[in-house]
Amino acid sequence: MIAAMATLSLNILSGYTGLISLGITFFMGIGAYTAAWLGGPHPFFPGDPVGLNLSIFIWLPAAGVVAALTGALVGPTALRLKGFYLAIVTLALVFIGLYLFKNARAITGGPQGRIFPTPSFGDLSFSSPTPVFGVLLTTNQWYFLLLTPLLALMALFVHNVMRSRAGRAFQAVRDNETGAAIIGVNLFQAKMSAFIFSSFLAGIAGALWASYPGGYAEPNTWNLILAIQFVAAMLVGGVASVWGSILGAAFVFGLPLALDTFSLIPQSTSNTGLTSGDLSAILYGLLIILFMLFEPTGVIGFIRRVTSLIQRFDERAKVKGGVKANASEPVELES
Amino acid sequence: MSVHSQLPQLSVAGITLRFEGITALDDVSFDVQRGELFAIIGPNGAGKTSLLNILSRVYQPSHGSVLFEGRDLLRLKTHQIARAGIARTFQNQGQFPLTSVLDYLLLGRHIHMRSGIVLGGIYLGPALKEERANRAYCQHLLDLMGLAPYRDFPMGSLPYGLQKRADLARALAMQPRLLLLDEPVAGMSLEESRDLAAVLLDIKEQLGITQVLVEHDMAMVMGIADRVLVLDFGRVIAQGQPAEVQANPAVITAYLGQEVQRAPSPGSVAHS
Repeated sequence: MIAAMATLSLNILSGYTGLISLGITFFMGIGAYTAAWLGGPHPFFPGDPVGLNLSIFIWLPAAGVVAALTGALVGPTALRLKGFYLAIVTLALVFIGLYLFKNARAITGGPQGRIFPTPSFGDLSFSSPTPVFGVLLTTNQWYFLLLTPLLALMALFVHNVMRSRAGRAFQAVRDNETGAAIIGVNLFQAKMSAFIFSSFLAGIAGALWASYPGGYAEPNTWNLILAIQFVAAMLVGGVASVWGSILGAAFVFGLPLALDTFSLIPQSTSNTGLTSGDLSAILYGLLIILFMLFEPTGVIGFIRRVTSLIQRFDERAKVKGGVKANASEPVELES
Repeated sequence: MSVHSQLPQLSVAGITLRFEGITALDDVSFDVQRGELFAIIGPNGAGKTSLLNILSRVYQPSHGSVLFEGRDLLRLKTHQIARAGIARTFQNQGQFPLTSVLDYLLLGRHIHMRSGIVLGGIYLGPALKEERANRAYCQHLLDLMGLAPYRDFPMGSLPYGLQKRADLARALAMQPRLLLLDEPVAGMSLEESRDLAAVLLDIKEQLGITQVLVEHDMAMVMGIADRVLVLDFGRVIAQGQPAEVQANPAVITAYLGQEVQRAPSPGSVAHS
């Protein structure tokens, strides 16, 4: 689900606005370290990374805000470039990020990593199983209860943006910049908004990402491979689609787990065998190629096509002969 | 009448446009009055679309000035033209193939709407109210233009003639004071172009929007334009009432002359 949030963030920028970015892990990292600084435990030994031990109501939004501000700072330079060149600049961001995160020891703990805050509400902490109203819930169950509404909220928000003024502007910029400008869309403003919006969600996703697996992460977490996995999730799930982001993330990040859980591959005792990670990497690599070739709109496009086929069948009865999809010759307008 | 309303709404003076040694436009000047339907004609490659691209701030001319309602248009950025009160249609379609017809019209309402990411994301209160009002406005426009049955179709799935009609509807949704039309009937059937000419006259008479029309369909232009400017190789060779222009010997040589010679095959206006 955290991966779905990050994929959603990437889809705002790349799917809806057409700005190809590989830098999502940079913004996730910024968000994560903001969260760690504000919400992490007070230093125990001198030399421990700083932490102010503030509440999740502060560190989670702050993670988004600081990432968004970083986006606002980087945006004006990065957005001068288009397409491939923008991808390269955002790629550079990831490496700059890795360097910064390794060296800003006071906040990041240096190469060996640091402790991140786990969500806690009052006495209730997610780090250990806690009974509430007599029900004992495990860490994973708590996370599920926190993340589901959060993801739903984000998905709804993104969906709303995309069907209102700002989202229409994003998509117009993606389809045709000059056309969009002539219609009155301020290109720079639209791209910056998309960049900042995307960074905000990436920051929140980053904070949760670092907090989840035991509340510990090292700077190398925010690497290029992870960024590419989000790109893969977006492509497989569906470009410019909220549900596509969720499905794609579930697929790309769920696949290694599923392979492990159901023991679909023989366990090898040596370290040289095929691991579930390797196998899923091969599988989704293959899937990206297949999707790009046959279904460029992803899983969601496939679902939509099936439903629209059914609808078109109905409509053909209604608007008889009025419009032919992909008609090559002009069709006279009736009425 | 005030002095202001007697000034031309659009005043183009001495426009010269060069592309790496080629002079696309050479010292072009003309004025357009408020409410006028002004046509710019000329053979292909005469510089008509280049002129429109200057008016919509896609091209920067090397010389000359453009005043719109007293403002220096050449100081504005491309996206500011729409807010200044100018809308334009596109000669070729296919810019926004995935956008539905309704969404395309709503995109035209961009400059008249306010909500940004935060309000749009919440989609309640002012944003919802604004969205509803503008959807109703666009729906009304779709009804007027006979596009209502195609409301939810992606632009790219419509036949060319309907795409052009939807594009015109989008430009009208911008509620401009000056409408620039780039070959609105090119590629249309005779019947479609007759329909469109009627729509343009309605826009002039009922909405009073000034129109600058670039076209090479001579017959259509002569039927509806108040005044005509003829370009040939980037120069103005004639300017005036349709009847005057048609009688002008320079125009006949440059443009109509060839029409007359090719009279046995009507309809072939192509001149490349």
